[in-house]
Amino acid sequence: MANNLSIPWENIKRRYSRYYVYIEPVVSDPLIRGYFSLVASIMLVAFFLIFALSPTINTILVLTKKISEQRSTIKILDQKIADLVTAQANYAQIENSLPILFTAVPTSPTPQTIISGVNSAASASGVPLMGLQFRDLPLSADAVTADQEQVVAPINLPVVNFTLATAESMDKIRDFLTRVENSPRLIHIANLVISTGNGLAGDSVSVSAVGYYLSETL
Amino acid sequence: MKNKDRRWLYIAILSLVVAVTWVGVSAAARLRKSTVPADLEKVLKPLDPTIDTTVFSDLAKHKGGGAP
Repeated sequence: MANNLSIPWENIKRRYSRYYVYIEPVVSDPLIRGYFSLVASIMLVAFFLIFALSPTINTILVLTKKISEQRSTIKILDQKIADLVTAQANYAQIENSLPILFTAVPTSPTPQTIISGVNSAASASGVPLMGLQFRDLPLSADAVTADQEQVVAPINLPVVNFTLATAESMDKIRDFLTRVENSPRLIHIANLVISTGNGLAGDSVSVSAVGYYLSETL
Repeated sequence: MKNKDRRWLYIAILSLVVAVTWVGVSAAARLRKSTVPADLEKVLKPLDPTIDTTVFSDLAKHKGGGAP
């Protein structure tokens, strides 16, 4: 059997009127009446600024920046395409001259071209070669690591160091050294020690030189 | 009106100032970051198409190992 639990309105009013009695002095305070709406509005604006407007503003700014950056990227890439076409045309012009470059500065140490150049210069000048020595000679470019390569001015490429000695008259030695520097392989004479001889021995010269090559690690 | 009575007004104004500062700083931080990916930045490096052809003419003079 269900019990009738309806509570009369007067009892509800009497039971909860004490809460209204506590709130009424607060609501009727003239200070609260004057400032509550202003304070609540400002706090609400601050709340929605942080949690609603801030993400929206950030998204707008990021998207605007992305659009402008992508436009500039397109311009740069178009310019690069034009430069590549120009570079391709320029490369086609010098392609036939590349063997001269790779003879002068090969892609590996290639000491044999240095030896042949020095030998032919000595033969043409008529000076005897004595003591042609290579120092720290890598037999292939793969065998050399980047920190082992010695880069020497004035060209700042990796080098093969070698020394040689000869004894002849100064004119022939001068001719020989000029032919060595003008050989197809790019050789730079780094150090020269001349000892003046007497009689038939002539002047003796000790030469320290370097031969340049291109490195894949550069 | 005493200052003590207006403390909630001051708190609300300071909260608004903090909120505006928060929005400004986060917007500035987002604008400083670049949206271009790192691998694309490598591709965007400019290319100089000019080749110095005088090098080849200088090297051609050495071709015969000629005397001075």
